[in-house]
Amino acid sequence: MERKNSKEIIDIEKLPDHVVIEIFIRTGVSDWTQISCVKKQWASLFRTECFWQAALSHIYPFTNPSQTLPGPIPPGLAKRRFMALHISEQIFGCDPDIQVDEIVGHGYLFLKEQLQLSIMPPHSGILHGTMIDQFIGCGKSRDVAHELASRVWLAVLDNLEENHHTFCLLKRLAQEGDQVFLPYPYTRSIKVQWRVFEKLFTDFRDCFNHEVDYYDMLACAKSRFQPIPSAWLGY
Amino acid sequence: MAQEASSSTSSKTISLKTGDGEIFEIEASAAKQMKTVQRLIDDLGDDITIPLHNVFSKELPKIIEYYKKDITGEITKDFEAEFVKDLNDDEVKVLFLAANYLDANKLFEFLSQNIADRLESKSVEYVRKYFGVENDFTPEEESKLREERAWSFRGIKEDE
Repeated sequence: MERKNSKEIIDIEKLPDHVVIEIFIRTGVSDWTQISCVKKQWASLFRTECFWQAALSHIYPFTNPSQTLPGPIPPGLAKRRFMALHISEQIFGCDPDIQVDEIVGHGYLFLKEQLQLSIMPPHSGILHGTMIDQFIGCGKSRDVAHELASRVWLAVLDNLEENHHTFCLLKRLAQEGDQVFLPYPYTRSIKVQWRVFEKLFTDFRDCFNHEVDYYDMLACAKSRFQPIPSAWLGY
Repeated sequence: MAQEASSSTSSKTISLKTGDGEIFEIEASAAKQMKTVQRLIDDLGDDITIPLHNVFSKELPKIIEYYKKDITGEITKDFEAEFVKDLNDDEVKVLFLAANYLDANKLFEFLSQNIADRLESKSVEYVRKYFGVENDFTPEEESKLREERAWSFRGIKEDE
């Protein structure tokens, strides 16, 4: 048996990082959590630029890593760009009509981070406007920019953590709705406003401490949407 | 059959000697695909038996088989599937390490993918066992890390 000799060389531990990375980038994103829990050194690999650049060039070989994106939202380093591409693929993967675009993922990352800031997030109009400017800056038409921004809002709303902070945020978003009149494409889409109310009255129904609060919000919803679904009334 | 009579590069063979003393022949054009071997040839000349201390007689024939197919331009998905079909996990690892040592890029990439496939959806313990690696996390550290690294669409978070 060659065990004695091969034992020296079945020493994957001693392999340099860039070699081990070649295996990791081929497992696919869903296995990376597991892999980083194997040992500390491997966990630290996921913080290196080296890993993310390798992942980018293997999984998204058509992106140009040195290209900077125009617009107010900075693309960041390799890791952030990878995340943006991954998210773009997830949000839009099943829609063949819309080209997978890194900027959509950047929009998502930007919006999610801003909304989850523990201090008061900026007014939703500002966040929305930033995204629209980003998409237009990258050459999208106003219609496409508006549609993309809507999708990003919907995706972010669906992925906010279910906690008190989100509940307060949703209430704020519901009320910010049409406080300020903005021209198209800076207007928020109807389906986004709808989703905000829907989440409040379904996922977050139990968070309403006072009935007054709940009825105020209901009145707000009724002023925008007629009729409102019975699910929102708790049936 | 030996083809050493011809002096043209295309049919010239190189002798490789494994770490456990066995000698194998390989065509010069195949040897070119293994950069480590090519470097040794450049240094030592192509008439000498090239010593490969870290590759052994168990795996070298398999590597030679791969590159023999490669120089005829015939590596298909079917060939690759067949190539790894009967290899157990250890054998793949050994080949992978040998391909790395030999700087044999095509084989290395193919085997990286194969190992990655073998690890797909496996548990952390499985991966540790596979690589013979010790866990150096405390349970608290590990669960904290899991939370941070929820790489699904739902929980993408950025580290500092």
